[in-house]
Amino acid sequence: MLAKDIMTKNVITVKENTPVREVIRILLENRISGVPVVDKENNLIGIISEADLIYKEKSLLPITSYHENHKKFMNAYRKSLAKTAGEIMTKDVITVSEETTVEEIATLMLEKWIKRVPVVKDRKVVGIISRPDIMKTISIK
Amino acid sequence: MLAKDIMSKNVITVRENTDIKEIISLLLKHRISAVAVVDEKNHLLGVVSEGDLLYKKRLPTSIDWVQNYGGYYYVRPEQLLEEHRKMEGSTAKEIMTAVPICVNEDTPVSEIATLMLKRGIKRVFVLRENKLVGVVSRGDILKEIISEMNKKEE
Repeated sequence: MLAKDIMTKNVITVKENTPVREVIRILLENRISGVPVVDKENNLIGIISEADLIYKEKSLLPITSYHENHKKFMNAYRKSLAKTAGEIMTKDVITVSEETTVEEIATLMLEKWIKRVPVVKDRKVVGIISRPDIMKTISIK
Repeated sequence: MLAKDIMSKNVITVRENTDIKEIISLLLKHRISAVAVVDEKNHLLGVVSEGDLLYKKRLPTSIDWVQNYGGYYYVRPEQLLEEHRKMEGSTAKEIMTAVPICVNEDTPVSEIATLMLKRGIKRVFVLRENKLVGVVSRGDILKEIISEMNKKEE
């Protein structure tokens, strides 16, 4: 079975200038845990998950120190101040193509600790696969 | 704001002998990402999440990756055994992750949010005297964040 057989084709996306509050509302309303960020031509430029948004919790305690992991520290700082999707999104998005097998996707999700993966074709988002989509394919002997 | 203010009180639970077919249908039906595994006294024994079930579709890690390079492993043998257990298991007990991360009803939301980001977990269970009384998911934290944002706006 391939990505194209199980992916959700009506992908909910946001734009770079979508306010963070609107992003949270979209996730809660649609009961989804992440949303791709696209430009005017539907090219994928980032992704926002619940984890990115939790940095907005105002009394969040330090996740790490500058000395321990400065990259992670600065990232947390940036996300906590973000006002728009573009500012809070993760830019290195892991993607698959329509021909990627379900087994490869399951492995990718476990190894990279991700819950969803956009399906792209020439940088354009054509679908999205989340963990429940994979679970539906598990057949019990 | 504390755990008890935002937690969901009806936690979907299963028993150790619940088969995974039933767990999958529970997760899909309730649109949740994990179920708690409890005993007859509602003591928390473990958790079965989507992640544990993904092993059913995972490509097996080659045994060749397990090699001892002077004390260093590329893949540790324990990890391979764990993977095998989850790939082969057919009941909650066989695939669950034991000793999930828990909090109590008076744990502040800020601590829970921090815990989620630090440990990469999606939910924490809320215990009172070792009994399961609730669960806080990432979505529950987002609801709190947005209500704070709305308050500020007014």
